[in-house]
Amino acid sequence: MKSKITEITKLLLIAVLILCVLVPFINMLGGITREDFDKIISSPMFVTAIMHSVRTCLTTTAISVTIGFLLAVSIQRSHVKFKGFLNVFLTIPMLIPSISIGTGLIVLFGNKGVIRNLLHLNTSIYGFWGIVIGSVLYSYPVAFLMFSDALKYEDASPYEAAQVLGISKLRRVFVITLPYLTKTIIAAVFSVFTMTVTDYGIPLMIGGKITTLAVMMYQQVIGQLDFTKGSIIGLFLLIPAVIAFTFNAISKRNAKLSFVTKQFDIRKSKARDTAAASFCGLISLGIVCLIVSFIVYSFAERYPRDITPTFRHILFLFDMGGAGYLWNSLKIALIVATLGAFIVFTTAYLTSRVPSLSSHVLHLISMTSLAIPGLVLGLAYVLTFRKSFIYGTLSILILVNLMHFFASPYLMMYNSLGKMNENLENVGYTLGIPRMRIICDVIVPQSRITILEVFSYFFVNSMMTISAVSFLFSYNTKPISMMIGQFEAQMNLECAAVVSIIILIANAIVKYLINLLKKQINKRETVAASAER
Amino acid sequence: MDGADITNVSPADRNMGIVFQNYALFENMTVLRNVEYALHLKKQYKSTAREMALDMLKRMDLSEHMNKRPGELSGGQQQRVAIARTLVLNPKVILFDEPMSALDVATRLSLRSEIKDIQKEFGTTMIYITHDQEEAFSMSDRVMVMEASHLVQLDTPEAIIRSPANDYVKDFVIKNLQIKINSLVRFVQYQESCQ
Repeated sequence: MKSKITEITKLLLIAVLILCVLVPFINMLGGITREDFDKIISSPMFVTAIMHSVRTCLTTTAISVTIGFLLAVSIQRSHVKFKGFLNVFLTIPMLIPSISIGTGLIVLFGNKGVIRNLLHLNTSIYGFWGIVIGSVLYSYPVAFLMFSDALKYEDASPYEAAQVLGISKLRRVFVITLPYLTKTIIAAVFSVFTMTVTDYGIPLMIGGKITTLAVMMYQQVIGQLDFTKGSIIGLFLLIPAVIAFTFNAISKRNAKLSFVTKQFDIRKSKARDTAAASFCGLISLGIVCLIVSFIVYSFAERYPRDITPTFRHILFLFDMGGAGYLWNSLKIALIVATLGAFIVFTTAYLTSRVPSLSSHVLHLISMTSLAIPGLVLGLAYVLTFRKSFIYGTLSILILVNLMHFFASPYLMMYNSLGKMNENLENVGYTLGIPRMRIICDVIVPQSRITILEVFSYFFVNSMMTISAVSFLFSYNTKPISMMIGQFEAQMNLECAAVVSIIILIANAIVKYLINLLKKQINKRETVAASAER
Repeated sequence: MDGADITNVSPADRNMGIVFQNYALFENMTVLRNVEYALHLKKQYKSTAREMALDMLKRMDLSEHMNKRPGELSGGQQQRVAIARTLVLNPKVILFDEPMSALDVATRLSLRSEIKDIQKEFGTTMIYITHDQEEAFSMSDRVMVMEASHLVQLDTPEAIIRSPANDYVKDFVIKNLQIKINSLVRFVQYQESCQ
């Protein structure tokens, strides 16, 4: 049953991934000398940055994971209204760059901030708590989605058994819920910690005097062009990601859930529903504030002094070449999403449905991008491709995004394809149908929804990323997300807000269209089903 | 097969159909499409594919379901689609690879007789792989007992029970069967005593 073509394709993919992820990374490590390393880790600035990073990220992780968990419980285990809407609305922060959230906080709580003005506050948002609040807003959706997924598929029968045995509600949480969620909690903690510790957007905006490791790395590379120092700092940013990666690789995913789970029968309780609704409302209010503040800043002459409506800021953005940069971003996102969907499908198909030794190797390499933060990958690309022809072109931005965002959609696809009946290709084989036909006529149609999700993941992330691309764009290829930092540096918060809104709208449109397509597919299937009955 | 060694012939050219575990139907296609799909890809059948498929569905009593998708069918109907998909290519032999191992006992019982009926109607040779001795002995004209990938005995069910070839057949096959029969007998006795 082994064919040469599948084996060659696997080896080819392995080669491409090694060349585009591992080689640049090892090349970066090779540039580090013992001397530089010792010099940097003994410098007081570096030690302080580590302390700042650890403190802000631990605080953020604790709050983010708690919020994510409470939101998921509120929606999955109550009769709160508008569940579908909340599920979408609460993940809006995932559609904008982290740096936009920083901008939003300045717009809300900065010295001329909207809320600060309304409430006559005197405290400053710049500093530790600014970073924490921003990072929480940036990262809680990830925890929320992980917990939602886990709770959605939790089996209700142990709870019913516990009830019959007369075990108290509080004890049920400790003996059933927590053990069930252990894996999810650990995964959420790692994910949130990793994404916040490697993010420079928020601390750069509102860190004030607090410099975190990620900001330090960004400044060393962008400001001082000190690539060696950047590489060494990047090495430290790698640690939590590598731990997270190892944990992910060790803990087996429940890809093939075949047993039947009992649905939760949620009893009526007004008090619980009110509490759930209030909590969801509170977090939603934060998101509303963020969006409203962007709109106010974008369309007011100069908030808070002069609030006459104006298109001045938008026009200024376009004068600065905003349309071209938006076009760059759209081109990158579309190409990454299309190519990404194709490559991810091919890779996941080969690893999940054409087993061999090379499949294991390919599977492992496909997940390595999880362990390399965007900033580090970006720097590795600068060091490796600086003298090559793709440097300074759109291709390098496309390539770095493809590799940076490869692992998550790959795992989505891998799990989805692994769940399909394992004998489909064998059926084709005995009926004389070539493998390619089975792939095109059976496998692809059955995984359309996952393919759409993969497309949307690549698009949204390429649209909003500020990490891997930040060292790699040139004057002609600059993505629009990189304008936010630039405007903020010029104290032009209005234009930074406009850019944030543009990115949010572009991503929202794509998400909406993908959802529409998904519904269409589901509907067609159920209509066909009900028409026959 | 028919005196020819097919060990090195590619599965597609062996003229042998296989019904797989859980059937592996094409979920995204209708029942009709499932059955005619392979025909469309073969030159000699291309023009008559639709007719042949419709005819097969009729004989398998599936005509009223032909526009449904496999997910909307019962276990028995799905099995018939899987067999129809194989039979339509007119294979010399059909191999059933533990088709019912994932199903519950009640469904297995009814599907068992259905396969038998189909076999009688079409007269195709069927090889049925199973771990269930009862299934094997109730369905087969001839039973082949294998031990560690070696053939131990090939005979009619009656002959195997009358004279098992070795201890393995005696202990593994017949004893297990005996246990089942004993419990059945006890059940019947109990019912009689109640009356």
